[in-house]
Amino acid sequence: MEHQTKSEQVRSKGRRISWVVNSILLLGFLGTLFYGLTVYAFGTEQERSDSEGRMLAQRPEPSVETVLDGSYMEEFETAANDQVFERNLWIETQAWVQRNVLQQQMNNGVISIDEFLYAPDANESQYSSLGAFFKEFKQEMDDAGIPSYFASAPSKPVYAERQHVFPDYVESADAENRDELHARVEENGIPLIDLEDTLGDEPKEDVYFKTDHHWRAEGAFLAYGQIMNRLGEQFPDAPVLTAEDMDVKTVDGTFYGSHAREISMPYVESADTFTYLEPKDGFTTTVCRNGDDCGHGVLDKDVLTNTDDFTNYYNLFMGDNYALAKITQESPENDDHLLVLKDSYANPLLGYLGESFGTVSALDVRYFDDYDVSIAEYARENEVDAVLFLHNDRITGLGSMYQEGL
Amino acid sequence: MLFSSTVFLFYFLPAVLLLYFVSPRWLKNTILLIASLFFYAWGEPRFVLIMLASIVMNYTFGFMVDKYRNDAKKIKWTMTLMLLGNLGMLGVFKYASFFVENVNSVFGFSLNDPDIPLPLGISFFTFQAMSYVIDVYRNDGRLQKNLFDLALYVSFFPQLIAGPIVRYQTVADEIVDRRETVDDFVSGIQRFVIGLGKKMILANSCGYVADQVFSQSAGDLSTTLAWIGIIAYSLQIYFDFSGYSDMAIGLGRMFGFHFLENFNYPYISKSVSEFWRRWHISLGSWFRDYVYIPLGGNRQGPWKTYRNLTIVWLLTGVWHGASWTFIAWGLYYGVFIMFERAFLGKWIASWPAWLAHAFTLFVVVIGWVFFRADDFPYAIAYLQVMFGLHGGELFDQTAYFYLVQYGTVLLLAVIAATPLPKRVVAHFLRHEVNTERPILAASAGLARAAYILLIFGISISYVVSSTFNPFIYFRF
Repeated sequence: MEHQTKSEQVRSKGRRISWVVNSILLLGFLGTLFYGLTVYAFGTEQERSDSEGRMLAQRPEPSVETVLDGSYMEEFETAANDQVFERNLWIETQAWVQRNVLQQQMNNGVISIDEFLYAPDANESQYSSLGAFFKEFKQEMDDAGIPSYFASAPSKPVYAERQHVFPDYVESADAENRDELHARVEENGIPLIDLEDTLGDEPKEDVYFKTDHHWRAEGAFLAYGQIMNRLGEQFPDAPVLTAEDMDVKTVDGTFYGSHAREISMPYVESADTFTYLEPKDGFTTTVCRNGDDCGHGVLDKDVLTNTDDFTNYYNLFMGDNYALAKITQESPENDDHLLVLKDSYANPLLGYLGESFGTVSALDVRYFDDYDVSIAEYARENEVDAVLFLHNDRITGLGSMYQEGL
Repeated sequence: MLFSSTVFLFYFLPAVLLLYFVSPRWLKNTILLIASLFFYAWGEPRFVLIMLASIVMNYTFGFMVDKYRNDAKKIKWTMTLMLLGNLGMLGVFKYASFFVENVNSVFGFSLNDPDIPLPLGISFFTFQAMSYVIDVYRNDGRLQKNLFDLALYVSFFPQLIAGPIVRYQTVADEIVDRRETVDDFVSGIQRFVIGLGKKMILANSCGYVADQVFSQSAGDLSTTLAWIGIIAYSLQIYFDFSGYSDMAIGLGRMFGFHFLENFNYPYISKSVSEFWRRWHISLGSWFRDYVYIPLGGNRQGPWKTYRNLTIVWLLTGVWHGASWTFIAWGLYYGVFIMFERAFLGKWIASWPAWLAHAFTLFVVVIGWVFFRADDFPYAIAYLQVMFGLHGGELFDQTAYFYLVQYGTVLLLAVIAATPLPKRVVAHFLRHEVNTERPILAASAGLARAAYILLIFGISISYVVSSTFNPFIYFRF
């Protein structure tokens, strides 16, 4: 009798343990599923992801047509993915597992080395379309009597490759690609201003952000000095800012740049401190964006009021990218007009150039297709005195856009 | 709709579970049928009609078979029509372009490619529907008079897209009478989560490596990189397919269905024949029971056995896809299985186990080259690189990169492809049933729950991350 009681007790304990374990599994599994469903049914849709720097898809409205052709389902899936509960937490968990458990050193093409994030490119770039553009553009500028220059900043991977920062297993064709780009520029007779001459030996902390693919304002200022040294041959009277003229200012919040977004936070060892340079007496220029939106400064300090982790403080420089940004001095020191053909890399430098030239037109070929005139026509019609290409060495994708802009 | 999607995990599955378990018994099959049709229509709304046509056609054949089973002439005609109907449908949707392409190539015609889109899962649901009629004919399953119940058997969403191919006799009773239990449900959760983990953590990581390697021209690969690529693909296809089968089996169990196993650690096999007893078991047994044995199997002497094997492996290749590389892949296995039957099997059996195992893996991995390659020239060029016959490098920086970046996940996948992890887990969890030591039993049980929920969480993180799409404006 006593033995039976003990057996019964043992079985009872076994059932209780089984009940508890089953309950935990049911609760964990079904709880997660139904929480997701509840958020979908009753939650508020998020409009934007700061960590991804983009607008999130919203739930679509169905129609007979979109349901039958399947496009409703596609849009619904996109919205479901974007609106999934705790999206950032899931993404960061995956990156954490990938880095710490699966020991994957790179994520989305970005690698973290000594607190700096790099996106090396293993592929050889093709510059044939850029080369063809350079040839034709140079001819047009020569015909118009407008000198052109190509200022080439070293991208962060090129700097890293030259400094042997990458481990042996990381493939990078960046330095090779840079040399190839320079060959295309020079073989078409465009004077090259190789900014690596100035920046190549500077400490990387002074030139590049840790978490962004752009250069810092300080790096851009050093490059400005080299550019003005070269342009000074044509514009000997253009005033040139020196380090003594500038104040270095630091933004309060931390800065996580484009590479931090790509690689995800578990790979990011430290944030950037965002600094910018401003003349001691302030900038003396105003900016017109896309022709008629005038009265802006070269520094758009509205962005500094946002303190979210993923605020893109780089937009401080010029506010953003525009097809055409025209910088004019309020009290022109000269009537020289410089046309800069650029992408976002040039933005910190444009403000400095604005202090040296009466007018600086900055034309971003990525957005210029809305304009009716070609680049060359713009240069001729606006009596440009010189054209300056200002990019880093990762512009293979711009070749076709420049050709369309001819 | 994929199981490894947010739509399935957070919308479809909880909604169906809720509706199913709050519904009265008489409504449960209807709920599952509507859910299954919705599941199928989600990806390809117009193809639902094709699946429904297949269901109605085989429902009718079922009645005809039942009625004419004692009339030799009529039953022969019925079965012939059934084969023509099902295989005709499969032929039109899956093989028409391949057929036209080859006719044009051989006879110099210029027939237009019909360019018919492939309905999702058509190979699976067609074989299931045929299995129903054949099982009724053989009295292995009873006639299903309820069209909706037959529709549920054919279209049941857990196994609709990627199997396993559930034989009618396996679930015939459960369609009309089943019991859902908490233990089954929890066991289903575990199985589903393990499958999701296989798919998201292992298969997709290995698949990324394989895709990167196979996207390159074979001539650009080093020998080491070619081996990394095919090993990664071998692991991808196993974890992808077996993971999907695990999820299907797990989901079935949640709703009270018990599907048969589809994989049994195929990469530990010591012969090619054993590999096929462990790989895609439902397809192998389908061909064995519905093709090989009716053809006479191995009972009519060696030559007819070899003929039967040739037919079965030719069909196995054709079933996998409309391409000569798939056909070659099927026949490749057919040849090895015939050799094993003729002499190789006895020879291999006398080898040390490690050598038999290595030989089998070698044969299987080489076979995957044909399966993965887009065409024969690429497959041949790839094999040349694998064996250093291309005059290129043995090792290069790209291979070094993949070893460093993906070495850990490939190693984990290799280990997970063996029964070792299961044995280790079972070793620790054996205490769970030791009710004499309740604390130990409780700890083991809690460890099991934590392990499953951890895999579930990590798998979801991979599902969500696969949609990670940072907007990095032009990077120049």
